[in-house]
Amino acid sequence: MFGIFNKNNTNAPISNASEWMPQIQENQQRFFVFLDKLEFKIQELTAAAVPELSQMRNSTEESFKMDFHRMKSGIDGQLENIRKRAYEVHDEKVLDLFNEIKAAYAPQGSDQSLLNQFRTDCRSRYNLFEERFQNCKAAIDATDFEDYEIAYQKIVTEYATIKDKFQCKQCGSPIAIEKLFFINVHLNCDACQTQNTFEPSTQARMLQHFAQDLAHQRAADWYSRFQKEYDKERFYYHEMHPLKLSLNFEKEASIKAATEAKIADLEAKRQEAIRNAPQFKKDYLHKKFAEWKNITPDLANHLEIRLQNELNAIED
Amino acid sequence: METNKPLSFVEKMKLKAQNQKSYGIDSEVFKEAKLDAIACPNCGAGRAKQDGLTNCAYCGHEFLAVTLTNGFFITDQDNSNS
Amino acid sequence: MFKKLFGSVMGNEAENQAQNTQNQHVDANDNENDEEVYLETEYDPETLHGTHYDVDDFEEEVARLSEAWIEQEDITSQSEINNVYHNYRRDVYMAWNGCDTDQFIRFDNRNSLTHHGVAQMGNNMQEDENNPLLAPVHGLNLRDYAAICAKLGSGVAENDIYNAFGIDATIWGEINTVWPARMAEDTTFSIAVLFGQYFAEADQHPKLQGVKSNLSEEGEANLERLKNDVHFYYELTGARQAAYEYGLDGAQWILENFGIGLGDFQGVAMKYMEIQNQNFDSNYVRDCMAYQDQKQAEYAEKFAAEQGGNIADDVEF
Repeated sequence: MFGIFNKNNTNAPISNASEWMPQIQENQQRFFVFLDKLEFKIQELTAAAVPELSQMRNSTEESFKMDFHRMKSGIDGQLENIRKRAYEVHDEKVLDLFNEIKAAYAPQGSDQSLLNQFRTDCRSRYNLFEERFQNCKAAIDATDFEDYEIAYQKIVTEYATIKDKFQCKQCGSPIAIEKLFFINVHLNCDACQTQNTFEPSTQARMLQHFAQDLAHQRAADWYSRFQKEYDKERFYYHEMHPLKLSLNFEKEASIKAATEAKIADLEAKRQEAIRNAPQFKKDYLHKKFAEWKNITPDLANHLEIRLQNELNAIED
Repeated sequence: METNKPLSFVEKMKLKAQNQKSYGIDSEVFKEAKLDAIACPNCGAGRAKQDGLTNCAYCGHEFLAVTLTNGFFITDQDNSNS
Repeated sequence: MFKKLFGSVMGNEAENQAQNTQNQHVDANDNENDEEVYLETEYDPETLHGTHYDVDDFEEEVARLSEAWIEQEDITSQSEINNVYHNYRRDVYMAWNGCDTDQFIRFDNRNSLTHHGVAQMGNNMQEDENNPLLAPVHGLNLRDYAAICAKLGSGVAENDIYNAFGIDATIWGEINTVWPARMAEDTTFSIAVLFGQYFAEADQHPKLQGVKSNLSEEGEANLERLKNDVHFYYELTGARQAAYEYGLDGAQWILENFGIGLGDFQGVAMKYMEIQNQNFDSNYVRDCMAYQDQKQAEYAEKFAAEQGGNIADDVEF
């Protein structure tokens, strides 16, 4: 009657969408196709690289695995190159376009929604690309895995083979290598008193450098137990948060009571996790350092100091 | 047959990774364990534990120009008494 | 009265936010008022505290505000307590000195050991002669150890270095086990910082003066340039980074193309890190990083061309 709700009311904003819609539609389509192609590349590269990298990392040849590290760096570099391209194109062809249209046309109402939808849809697609990228990156990173028990066993086997094979350079009497040495050591000949120098093999020298990794590997279950407990605090916190928010609007007494009971239960679990986590960390450290001392007993005194430092740093 | 491009790309990278010289690492760096005894380069005398590590017990030749302290296996008892 | 004025400004501890910077600057360009004077804050060269207040008053104020907040919020965790102190230290420092965050960062870096219990590069740290972790090992002190590490890292023949210090490979094996163990036992990071300082000055060690350098003439010239031309340093750092990204051994590439060994390069890196921490300036850091990124991108293009391009070069928008 009054024409207020007349769609053809001359006070309604004039749509200019026809001037920019085709461009955003085209950019969106091309952006999606572009990401499809980039994803195909990263997935194909990852699938091809993973077996090669794994083989190089765990090759039984004596080496420092520098070829693996170089190859992995190169693959990481290619993945980052692709990721950067996705980022730049999203910036230029989606965000810059969005801002240009907004500045030039100032779309209102449903036009504004259309423009925002373009940005949202592209952002979602970009987030999906990022997720797939992270999966590929994780698969590549996972190739940098070594079972340190293998390296340790090689050293132990080597030691068993050589420990009774040496003779004094001066008089030829046997000199037993009494334990696994990882640095040079002077050994006295019981027969002629000549000081001989035992030089460990290159692989035995590596022992003090991977001992901590092996000790951690042996304590992995304890570490996992600590990690899980530690993560619970945030997990329960996030579970509680929406429940607490809902209480602000809940008028029904019985529902409020039930929600409050749930919150109390979650809070009790959160507090338990806060209490447990430091203790579980200590348990892990005790296990790790015990193993570490087993692997390099000559470093036991030093390792005890480090263990105490780490335990003291934990807040209960 | 169409060549599988990523595989050959990866193969190329692998060859590149394998054929480079690593900084600071000699190709012959992997050594076996060994036992050796070094005589005094000055007088040819053998070295015994009780003589200490720093000087030759016979001619005084200086093997080490430092005073040994309590290190790892070597202690201040390993200084020669000369 | 002066300090009371600042004290009352910090009254709203409940919000734990920085107050308006109260500074001694009065409108410098106001020519109408003859009594207005431009006073720039003077800083103590050692502590970087302003000289117009007592450090004790400063510490008291920080403690007063921090303890009130800690009590109010019932904070029990030591790390959170440390955080509260850090925030109030920043607020009081910036208010009392009328300075920007860069100046606060320089102050915090300088006093890192006192404030945070960990040492930091750039403070010209002195050795505490009573620290048992700094006792020489087989007659070699930390400075000797760092110098040997630096030289070994630059490919000089091992025996030449051992002879210069009067040791042999067996003694080196012990030293190279004990010093890293000391650093690992040191919760203050002081030994590591001192190691870094000494590493940066390795070529000045008296015992290395007679040791033959293995650098070519070109290498010597480039190393000298690296030490004095900060742009050249960031260019090569960027280039090395790009090399790794293209599957090359970056350290080897630098050696082959510029004649500079990794040990020497890292020594220069330590020196620049010290200077940057000492004179922290966020704009300068940003410019350096931007320059390094630019160079990294240039070299990346070159390496890409050498390998026949990047894997996704044929994908266009």
